[in-house]
Amino acid sequence: MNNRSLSWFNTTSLVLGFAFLYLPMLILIIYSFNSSKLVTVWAGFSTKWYGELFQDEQFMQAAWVTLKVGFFSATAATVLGTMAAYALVRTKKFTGRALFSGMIFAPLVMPEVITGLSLLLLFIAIDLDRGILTITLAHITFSMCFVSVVVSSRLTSFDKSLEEAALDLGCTPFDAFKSVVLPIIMPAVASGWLLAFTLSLDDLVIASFTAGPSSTTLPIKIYSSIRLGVSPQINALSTIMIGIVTVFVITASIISKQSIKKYESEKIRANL
Amino acid sequence: MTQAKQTTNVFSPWLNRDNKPLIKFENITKKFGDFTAVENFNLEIYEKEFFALLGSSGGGKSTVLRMLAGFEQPTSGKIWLDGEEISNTPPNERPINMMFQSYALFPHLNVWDNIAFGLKRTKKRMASSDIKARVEEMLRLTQLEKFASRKPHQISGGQRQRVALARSLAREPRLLLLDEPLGALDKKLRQETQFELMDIQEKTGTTFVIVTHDQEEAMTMASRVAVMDNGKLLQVDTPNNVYEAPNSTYVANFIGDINIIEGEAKIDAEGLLSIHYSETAAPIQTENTNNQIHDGQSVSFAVRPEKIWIAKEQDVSLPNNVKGLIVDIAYLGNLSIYHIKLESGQVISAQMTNILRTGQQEFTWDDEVWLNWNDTAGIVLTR
Ligand SMILES: Nc1ncnc2c1ncn2[C@@H]1O[C@H](COP(=O)(O)OP(=O)(O)OP(=O)(O)O)[C@@H](O)[C@H]1O
Ligand SMILES: [Mg+2]
Repeated sequence: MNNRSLSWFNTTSLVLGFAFLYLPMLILIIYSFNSSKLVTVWAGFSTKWYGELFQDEQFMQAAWVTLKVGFFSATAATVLGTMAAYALVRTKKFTGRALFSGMIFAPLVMPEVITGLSLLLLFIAIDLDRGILTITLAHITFSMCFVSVVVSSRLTSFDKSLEEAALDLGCTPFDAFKSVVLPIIMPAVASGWLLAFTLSLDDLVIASFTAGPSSTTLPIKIYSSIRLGVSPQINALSTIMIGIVTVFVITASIISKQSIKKYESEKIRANL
Repeated sequence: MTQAKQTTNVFSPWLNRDNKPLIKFENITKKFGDFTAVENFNLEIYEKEFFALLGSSGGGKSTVLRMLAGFEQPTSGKIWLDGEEISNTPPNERPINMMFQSYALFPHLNVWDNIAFGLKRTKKRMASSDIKARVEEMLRLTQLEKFASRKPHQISGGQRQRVALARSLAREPRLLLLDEPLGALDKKLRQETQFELMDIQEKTGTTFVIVTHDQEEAMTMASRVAVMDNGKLLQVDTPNNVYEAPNSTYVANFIGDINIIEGEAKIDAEGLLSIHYSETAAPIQTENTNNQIHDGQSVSFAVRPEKIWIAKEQDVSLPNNVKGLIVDIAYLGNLSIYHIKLESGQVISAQMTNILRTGQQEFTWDDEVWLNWNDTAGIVLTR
């Protein structure tokens, strides 16, 4: 491994790959600063579309809905996902445990259209008016799986004797979870929350199945306005969303990486 | 004089039938699926004892301890504490604390909070001033005052071990369980800590049950030792008795070095016991302490290396003399261990203290020597 420089072939594939992934976004970001109303003609740098965006009632309304849905669904999904992960990792083998853990993870691979459709049918069946509540519920169901994946991977490496020590020192099982397990797995829980929030922010398909007329989210708004032609405002909005998602994903990965590093180094030190 | 002697009597509550045990295992069996980890286990542990569970890996020691702590429930049988059945009491309701092999310190709490953790969760709520006083007392006892505000990963292994001890002692448990508490420490620190543990046990008067697979450690610290193998209890006795009077070849082999010679027991008209182990060699003359032995039974004669006297000459004052050839010498500094091949083929190890400082040994390889031992040196084992 002393030849650390990339070969010509590797460099090319890397450049091509990244170009393929990020060029479209880059163009979108550049054009959001275009002063011309025509999307395809560059007419100089300007931030006026951002200003107009914040003046637009409808966009701001949609942004507010999106943030609310994101916050509440991420929070609920984190609570439920963490509980599910804990139950599956910790409880002694019970009949149907494999089935349960399979069922928790199945929605990860379920086509979104199907998830959205089935939720829509459910909401109609129980006569629930579509709106912020239904989108939130729908987002909880699918982002909860992601949270429980993140949290259970942390829990499987969690030293069980810490919990036993807590019980030994007078904790009830719930107190042991609250005072010992939760503080230690907090980074994983936090990155689960960020992930759930990002997923909710991103979602178009499930939201369009479950949204009502008064509860348009940003992705729905963007998608429907694109139908009338690409506007520079949309570019600006998309750029903001790209920014938010990027920050969240990077934060989540830094949190989990650091906690893994810390955990590893503590483990190494503990074994000295 | 005799009265003074009685009051300073060595601690041995198990000898008095009137004493009630603190802990009693009654026919405990623990199965994991089809696998029996502990089988028909009966044991009594008394207040203020320093009790060691000893045995080879996988013998079931940790399982016994975990049943005491409440992390495992026995499959059958009962566990009593102070005459109260606790077999199915959850761990947080037992007046028992455990010091974990991995220490299991809470990484998100500093030393002070680790020690205070159990005090904040007592049945009768402790006032915060009492908690503070108790934590400080524990810090003093374990000499950790300087490290109170450090996190567990900021202190050394030995210090972490003391935090674990302080944390488990803080609640003043009736019984403290220690699962290989010194396993992670180096030899020197381990010996120091052994004495510290004994000191702390004496100061606090807590009953200790310690698991170890280091027999020296058990012998140093324990008031009594229980030897386990394959989930069964083989022998429970004082370190001295387990060493000098093992009840089986497993125990004899497990505790220290021992020579085992298999042979046939012969009891003559006067009731004297001898072991015939070879057609050519003279039978071993030994005391008949075990009255169970009958004539013609096949038995094992066990004798410790330090009880055999090596000499150039036959020592006729001792009843047993065998000739052999030195095949191996292990120089250990304070003593040397000689492996001697008898004419009948057995290899016997014998031990000599190195009295001279010259490094010049009296015997060397291929020397022909005599092994001499008394009829009280060894013990006859039937299993
Ligand atoms: N939860 C469990 N499930 C299944 N088998 C187990 C479980 N815990 C222990 N065992 C088995 O029970 C036996 C006794 O284990 P235990 O941990 O009590 O041994 P030990 O004497 O403490 O050994 P060591 O000295 O290696 O710690 C082992 O064979 C082990 O594999
Ligand atoms: Mg063990």
